[in-house]
Amino acid sequence: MNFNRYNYFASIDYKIYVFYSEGPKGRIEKMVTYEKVDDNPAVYNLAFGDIDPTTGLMLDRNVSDNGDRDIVLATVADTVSDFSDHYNKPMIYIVGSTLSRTRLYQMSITKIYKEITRFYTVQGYRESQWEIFQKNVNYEAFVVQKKKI
Amino acid sequence: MDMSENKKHTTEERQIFGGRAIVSKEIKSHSNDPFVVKKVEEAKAFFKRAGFPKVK
Repeated sequence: MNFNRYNYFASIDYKIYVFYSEGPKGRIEKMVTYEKVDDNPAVYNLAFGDIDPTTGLMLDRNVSDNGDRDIVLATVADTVSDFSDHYNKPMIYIVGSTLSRTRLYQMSITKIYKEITRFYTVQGYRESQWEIFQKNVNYEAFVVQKKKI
Repeated sequence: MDMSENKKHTTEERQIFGGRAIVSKEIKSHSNDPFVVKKVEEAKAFFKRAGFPKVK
């Protein structure tokens, strides 16, 4: 499955990525950041959201609904790949700001599962344990890790 | 998208998948962004409770 994606800007340390969603609601600045959570194992948190044009800060729980969800998520996936390549393929923790957003991430992983698993290990957390991601199972959170091929 | 109109200072441009990535010095750290700080704190609390997954 080939999604369109947006071009993006990366910070010089490859921890921050910026791109612009374009749709019926206009041009919306989006940001993806990766911040270290732990050293052993190396785990980074992925934070994703819109940028407040006034403050320049990320907006919590904002739903821009700009009609380009798949393009946006494909772009976020590109940043995961880019970041992973620059940081020795660490674990990346992904959870939505809300339960519904976590479900959205889950649906997105499911949609491109075959392609993802060629290059990534995806684990989900449910019922107090981690397991390899399965379709049609709801998870609290995910960890993705690019395979060291 | 014409990325030049975003007025970011370009330090490197390269092809990524179906698009372009531009490395920019203008993108500043968001480590102190309240949203990011909150997410990292929540992640640390989560792993304290759940433990880390095994490397597969």
